[in-house]
Amino acid sequence: MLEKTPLRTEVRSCEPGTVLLVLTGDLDYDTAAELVAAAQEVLGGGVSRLDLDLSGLDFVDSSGLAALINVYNVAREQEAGLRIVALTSYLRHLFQVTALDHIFELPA
Amino acid sequence: MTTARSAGQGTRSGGGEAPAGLHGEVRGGSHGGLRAGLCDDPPDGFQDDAARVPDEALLRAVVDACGEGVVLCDAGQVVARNAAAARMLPAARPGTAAASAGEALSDPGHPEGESREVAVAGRRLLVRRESFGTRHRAWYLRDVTAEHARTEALLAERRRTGFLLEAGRRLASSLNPRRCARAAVELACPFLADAAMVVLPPAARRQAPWLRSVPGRPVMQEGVIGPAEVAQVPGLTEALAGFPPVPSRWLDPAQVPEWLLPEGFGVAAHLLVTPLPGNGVPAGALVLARGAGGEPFDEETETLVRVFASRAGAAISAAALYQEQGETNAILTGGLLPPRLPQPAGAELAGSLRAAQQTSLVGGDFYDVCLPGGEAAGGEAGGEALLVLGDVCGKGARAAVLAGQVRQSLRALLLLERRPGRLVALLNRCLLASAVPNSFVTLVLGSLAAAAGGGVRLELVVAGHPPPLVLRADGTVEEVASRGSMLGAMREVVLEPVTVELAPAEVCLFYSDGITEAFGGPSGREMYGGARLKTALAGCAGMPASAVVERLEQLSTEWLAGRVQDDRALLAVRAKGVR
Amino acid sequence: MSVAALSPGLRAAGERYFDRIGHADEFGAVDVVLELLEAGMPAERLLLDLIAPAQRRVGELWAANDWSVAREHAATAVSERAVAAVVARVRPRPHLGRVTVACTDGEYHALPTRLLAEVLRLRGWHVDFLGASVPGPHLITHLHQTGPDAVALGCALALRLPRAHAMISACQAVGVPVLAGGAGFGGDGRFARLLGADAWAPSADAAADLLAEGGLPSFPSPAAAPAHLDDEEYTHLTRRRPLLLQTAMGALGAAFPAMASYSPAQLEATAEDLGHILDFLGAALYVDDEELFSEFVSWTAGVLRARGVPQRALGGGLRLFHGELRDFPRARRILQCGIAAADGGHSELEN
Repeated sequence: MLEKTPLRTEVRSCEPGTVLLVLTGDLDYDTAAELVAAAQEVLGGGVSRLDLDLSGLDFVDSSGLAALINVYNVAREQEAGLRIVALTSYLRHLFQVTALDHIFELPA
Repeated sequence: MTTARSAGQGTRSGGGEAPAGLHGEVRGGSHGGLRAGLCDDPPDGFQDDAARVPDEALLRAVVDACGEGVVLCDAGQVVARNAAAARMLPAARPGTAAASAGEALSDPGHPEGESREVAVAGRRLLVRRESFGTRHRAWYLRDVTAEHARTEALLAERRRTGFLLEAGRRLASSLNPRRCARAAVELACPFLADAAMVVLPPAARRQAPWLRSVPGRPVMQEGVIGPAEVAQVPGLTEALAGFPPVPSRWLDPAQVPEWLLPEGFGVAAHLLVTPLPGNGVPAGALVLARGAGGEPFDEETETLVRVFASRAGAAISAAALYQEQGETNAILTGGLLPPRLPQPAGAELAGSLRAAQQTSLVGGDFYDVCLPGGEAAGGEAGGEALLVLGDVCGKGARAAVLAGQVRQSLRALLLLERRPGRLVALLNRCLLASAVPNSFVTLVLGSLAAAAGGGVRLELVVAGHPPPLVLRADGTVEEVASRGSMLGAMREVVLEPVTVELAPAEVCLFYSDGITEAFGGPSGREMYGGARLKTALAGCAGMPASAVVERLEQLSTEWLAGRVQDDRALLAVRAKGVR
Repeated sequence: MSVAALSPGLRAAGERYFDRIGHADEFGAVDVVLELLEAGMPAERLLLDLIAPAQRRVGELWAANDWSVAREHAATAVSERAVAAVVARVRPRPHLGRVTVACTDGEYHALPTRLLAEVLRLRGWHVDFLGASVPGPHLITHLHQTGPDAVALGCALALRLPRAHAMISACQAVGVPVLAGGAGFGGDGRFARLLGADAWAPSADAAADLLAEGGLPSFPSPAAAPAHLDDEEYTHLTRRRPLLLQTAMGALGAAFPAMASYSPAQLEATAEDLGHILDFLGAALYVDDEELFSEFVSWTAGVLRARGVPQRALGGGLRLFHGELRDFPRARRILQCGIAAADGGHSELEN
């Protein structure tokens, strides 16, 4: 069995009201719930904008994408903004294939 | 005539210079007495040393006190014996021929000085012969009846333990009722009986399946019997009902119907019918028969049968439970298995689905083909066939259930809408309305129709899924230029329907990301990727659809080299040539 | 028409059949077999004396580089259809026991095993054919659900023997005896015996005879694992495979400067070939059989010769592994036999 890298989530506060979540490792079936939990905790704290740094993710599967959609939905409910501030070319390709680039705000 | 050695031996066995006429049965005289027998010609010094020679009465007492039997023979005639020998071997009377006492005193060829065991009138004797000169022989007898019985009991106990161990091992290995029942009859025959049969509880149409093992024949006999036949066997109806919960051995074997026993078995002399206790309900019955000349079932056997029956019953009922759950499971997942592919007009279809979870065959990847007018319309019906291959979020049974729902929803929606783009948009709304969280699906859906002038036309929609590949007649491979939203995530979906024409022998391949995102290869950690899949597909030019799918699956399996992580699905459409 | 009278006809029909599958002519091939069937040829003979020999020729032509992989697969797919057409016409009612027929995990040469399944069906067994590359857990689930009297396990390539062993042991653990068959178990079945199979048969009809005679125990007594596996060389070789390949590719590049101009695809193909050698070495280690490896090397040399690949490359690859596997005495011994085979019987290596 291929060895997996665990998912790590790091919370950083850069400016007031904005939280940056830096993700590293694999975002997949086994770790998707961790992301949703982390995002819920952050958004529950009443921030107005959540930034996601996905450039450290090695692998994202369909469950990982589902988790990102869930984070998007939670942010919308809380009326918070959601941005993806960094991502790999592989992830950009994945967002394009699934047409999620239409809903997520991606860096240029 | 006699050597010093024999005299010495005589001394050891209580002889020496002794008066004749031991045991009162041997009359006096210098020949025929014990002393005479042992010391025909005693060496010098013995007879003169009167102080060292006990009198005859004392010698007799000594020899009689010996627990070991002693019989002395002279040229095949018994000349003397002690009290123990008289008890053990009454027939060996002095004055009679030794051989008339049977094999106890006759062992031609058996080496001198070595013990052997003989059975005499219900006793077990350990017999040893010693020669004294050419004429005299002494037989030493030891009664080992009790020892023998203890050993026998121990061995029998050991055989029963071994039998139960083997029974445990065999009965525990299978989760299949038929295999468990088979193991039970094979264990029971020949260890417990000459013929053994297990009758399982009545199933469909009140027919009770049975298995019977025939000694010396490799193939198991099997069949079913109805309630009437069950009633013919004494005690069987009761045993199948679980009552009485012990073996019934007061059954009349004469009432046994002929069909119960193997052909050529003859008459059953003893019959034992035992219920196989299960989880609350009886798991069947064990019928044991012993033929003419066989021993009756005794108390100990009955106890053993009861223990054995409880193990066999537990194994069979656990297996029956597993079987029942397996059957329920098969019914529930039947709709989730990849369908048998119909052959729509002008095209040839082939698919393969490999679930990551290898015990079941279902997972989050799926494909389906719907013919216009449903399956009843047959394979060659006109109109457009609908092809779909997709991947639902998640893994295992949970994902398989959602995949099944997607397939069902599509079949229902097809009644309302056949245009691929609109159909997929409707499916998206269904998924959003689903009560199950994370009902996300990616798929490729195509509507297939025969094109005018040969070949086929595919109207495709790609929803969040890797776009299909097309293998052209010249061996080049193209990726279908279309993309669209993943379903179940957003209210509005973006789709780009596209039409693909396939000339005869050209192939369109739908696949799931389990193929391209398979990690393996020489380093073991490289992703297979789209480029390799395209190269592999290019190598399939000229193959029928089934060969294309099999080849690609094989390459993917080899790439993974046993590291299966995700479901893998392939569906190929090949335009038929004109024959 | 008697069977004997058909024999010359069978030979001619065999040629016609071979020609049809060579052109991926499904209808033509099916016509050939159905005509013979209607003329009274027994279905079993059609399968074993017409289709099976034709498929063996297909394999030989691929090895000789006369046929492409695509043509080989196309011909095999047509033969599959021909088999289906024959057995669809002859369906005896099962009156014997139940047998599960499966290909070893990873084994995709399914036709010989499929032929066995069909022969058993024709002889009156209730057969469940699970197809190519059957994962072990799937097979065991099937055994619990259906409770067959035996499993017939097909293995065409010795490469799959370690996995075949795992499957044999798993079947026996659930109390079902295993009949092994296929070229992978060795022409004399020695690997079937070594790996504890309850029986082995050299051909489909021999397997059917053996089952009918009750040649299998009703309950298997699993054999102990071969003692040579205690040295764990196989395990370590499997674990080190990626690293060994990486090292070998580097060394090969230094030894063959021409590799510098290889495309990524060519490099990957080379790595795959080396990987294949390692996998065969692993199988030979697993069954501790030098001959298995030398035969593979000779066969590979023939395949490479037919494709115009320089012979030095094969021997070079083997020497590389021989040098790398210092702490693998058994593997080195096997490799030496392979090097001798690659060099045409002369080994220049000193141990």
